[in-house]
Amino acid sequence: MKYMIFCHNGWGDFSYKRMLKLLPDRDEVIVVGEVMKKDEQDYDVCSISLTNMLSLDLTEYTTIVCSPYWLKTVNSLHPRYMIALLERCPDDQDAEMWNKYSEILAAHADIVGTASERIYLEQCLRREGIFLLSGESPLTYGMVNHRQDTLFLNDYEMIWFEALSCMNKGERFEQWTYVQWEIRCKYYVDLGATYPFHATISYLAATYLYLLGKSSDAGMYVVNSFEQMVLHDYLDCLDSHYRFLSSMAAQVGDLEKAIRIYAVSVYSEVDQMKVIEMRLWLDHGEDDLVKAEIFRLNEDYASAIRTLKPLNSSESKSLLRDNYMQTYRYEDALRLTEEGSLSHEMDSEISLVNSLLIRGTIHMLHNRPYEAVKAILTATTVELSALQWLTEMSSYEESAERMLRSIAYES
Amino acid sequence: MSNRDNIEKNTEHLAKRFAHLDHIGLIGLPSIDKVTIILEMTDPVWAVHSIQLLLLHSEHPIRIIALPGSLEFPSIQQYFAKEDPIEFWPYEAGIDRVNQAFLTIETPFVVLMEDRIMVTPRWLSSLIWPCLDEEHVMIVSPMSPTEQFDGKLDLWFQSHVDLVSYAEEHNPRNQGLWRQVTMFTGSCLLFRRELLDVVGGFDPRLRSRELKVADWCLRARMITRQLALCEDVYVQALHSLQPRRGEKIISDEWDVFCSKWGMEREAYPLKSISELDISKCSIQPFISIHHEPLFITVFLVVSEVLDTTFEPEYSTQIEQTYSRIQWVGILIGEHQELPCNEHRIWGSLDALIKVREVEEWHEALEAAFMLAKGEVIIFMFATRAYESDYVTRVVDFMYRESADVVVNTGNDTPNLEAQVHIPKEPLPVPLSLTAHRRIQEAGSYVRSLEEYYFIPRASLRAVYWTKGTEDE
Repeated sequence: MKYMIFCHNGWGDFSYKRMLKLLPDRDEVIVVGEVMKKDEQDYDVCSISLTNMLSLDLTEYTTIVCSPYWLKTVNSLHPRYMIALLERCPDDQDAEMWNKYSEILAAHADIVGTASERIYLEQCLRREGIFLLSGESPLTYGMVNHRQDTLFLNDYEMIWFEALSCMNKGERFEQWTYVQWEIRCKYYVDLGATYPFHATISYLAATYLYLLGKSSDAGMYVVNSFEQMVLHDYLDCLDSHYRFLSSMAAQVGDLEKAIRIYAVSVYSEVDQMKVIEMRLWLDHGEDDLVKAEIFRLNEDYASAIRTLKPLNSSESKSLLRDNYMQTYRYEDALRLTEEGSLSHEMDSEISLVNSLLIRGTIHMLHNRPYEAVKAILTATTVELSALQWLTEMSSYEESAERMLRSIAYES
Repeated sequence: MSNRDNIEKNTEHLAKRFAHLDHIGLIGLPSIDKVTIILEMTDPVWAVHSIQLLLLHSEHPIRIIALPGSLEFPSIQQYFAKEDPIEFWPYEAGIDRVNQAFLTIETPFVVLMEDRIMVTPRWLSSLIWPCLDEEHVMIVSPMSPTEQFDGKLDLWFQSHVDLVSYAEEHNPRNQGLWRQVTMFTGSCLLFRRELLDVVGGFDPRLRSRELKVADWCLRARMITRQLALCEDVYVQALHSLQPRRGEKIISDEWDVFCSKWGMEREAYPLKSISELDISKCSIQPFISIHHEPLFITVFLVVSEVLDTTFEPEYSTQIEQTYSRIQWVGILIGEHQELPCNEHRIWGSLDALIKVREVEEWHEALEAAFMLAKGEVIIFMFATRAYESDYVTRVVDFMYRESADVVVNTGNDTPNLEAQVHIPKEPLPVPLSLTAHRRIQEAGSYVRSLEEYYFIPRASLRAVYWTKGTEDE
């Protein structure tokens, strides 16, 4: 297997160097940009200039992409697989743009890894195929021969290795997501036994139990965490902690309770309208819609999408499209929009504008600037506010160009 | 300078000289005898690596007996030279292979090890020395992540090179340091061969490795033998992300262990073992290492109601790879052509029960049970095709899962990705896919127009295995 690495700020800042030695079916590993000679030897990698990389056929490479600003370049080269490594926003970058386009990068990748548990958990609630690349266990779970030495792998390295091996073989790798959740869950449950009044530990234990589908066990941890937050005057914990219980109730199928809990956690008129709408759905037996909406309102888009996908009503498709948009799955959202099976109440002009904007974004992400601008300008003829998309696009282009220039200069 | 100072100085000189001679290899090994290493293999990748390290780091002549942990374990022989001192034993269902390996030991020292263990330089002499220091020392363990009590040490190394440099620096510094402990549960133990003469082998009623080892250590301590923990040797251990075979302690064997050692059943297994007061336990009998594999009775059933054609592939059914089988044929109903022809397989049956009336099927079964001598009854029907290793696989499940009833719920019989599922409540299952121990009131047998069924008694441990997915 051939791997091509796209670092954000050059090789020096690449924080997953050891991982490169542990790649499964490792054939050659190429880094775009300059690499010190010693590192080339130590990590058994070669460097390549940006210009030379562009002349390669990337369809036989698995790309490892560490910056959202590489996305349009890599997308246009059609690599065999794309691995996204998500990082916290560097100090010199615009956080809003970095975070949004990191999400888009994750949505485009075949598999995603991150050393940040915060990013990891957020992503676990948004999509599948996410792996945590950090941990605390001192135990050894496997080994990989690398040159003359044998490298030992810890738990998350072994899970990552197994998941990548599955991907390379075209097999599913969800089972390794579950294994990782089990390990993290046990870690926080054990830690919770030592520190029973620690709000964050209880909350994390609850989150992993919830991800594992064990809401009946998760409840007491989130209640404990909520109590600690209230005791310590964290006033925003009603929607961050208490509302989580509604998602848990939805997971076990108690939708009446789920709506009741959600209703307690909201104040605004719009949110109260949502409560009324969900009660109506429940009265009409639209249980799955309620369930999916409760998940979405708790930002668990992955569960919402899983619930809505098998449904066929126009309402469910409309909700599904919203969830796709929230998770930046533009291609899926566009497909649903164009299927025309969305709610008839939707104004056809709004639908056209949305469709054009999504299409424009997709063109931009695949490095087709002319088509992108054309689609967005067409949208502005109907809706002038669509122009703001052009502004955002040009900011992204600018950041991407800046990064490419620095890599080109380096090499 | 006082006399005491002189002694200390001289001891230091002696220690330095000893260390120097040892370092340049001028000090002989603690024993000139060969050491037998019994290696329990669970993962082919681990096993290859573990054996390579045994060959590299064992300073004594060794003989390795490599025992595969399952029927599916692939051959790894090709990774080693013919002259390497390794015997790869085939897997055999229905018997404790470690006890079988114990039978062949002729060397004074033996190592029992799992393939998850990665040994370090000079590991073997370090483990032998305590036996020479103290005659009552019978079992010796290194420090490792697999021990649950005193010897537990979790160290993280990025690579084998790091592990070796740690061992080379740490082990000599602590050379000769060992202490007596009360319990081992780990994956690397050296013991004297004579231990097998005084306490025997592993208790075949126990399945999990941890309990087997703990039971063995307790039996050694009962006859005033000592367990020594070497603090001058560390071996690395690999862990599995998913539960491994024999890792989980099942409730039945925990019951056996508790009643054997007079322990509270409610207590958490490992903690209560470590707190056990051996002086209050009753003397445990010697456990022989001579065990025959399970003896099986197969009921080969041909029923008029079920069989549309009358010359099915009996021969493929009776040609089973498992050898210890008593064959009992059961013919139910009128058959135009009696298959008792001496030239056909019916001639090689050990017994044949025949009833003319289909309604007498129950009596036929009862008669067959009276003739059965096997510990397990396996039902095979002429209406189904069974592969030649069907009996072997059933025996394997029966033995390693400590099952009373084994049911194959897959469409095809044997398969490589069988999964075990233990239902909360017993379900009626086709008799043709069932095996159960020959025990009183195993369950009830019922017949419909199309099929014979078996309903296991609720308290029995029934294991369902199927292809790919678990049976709900």
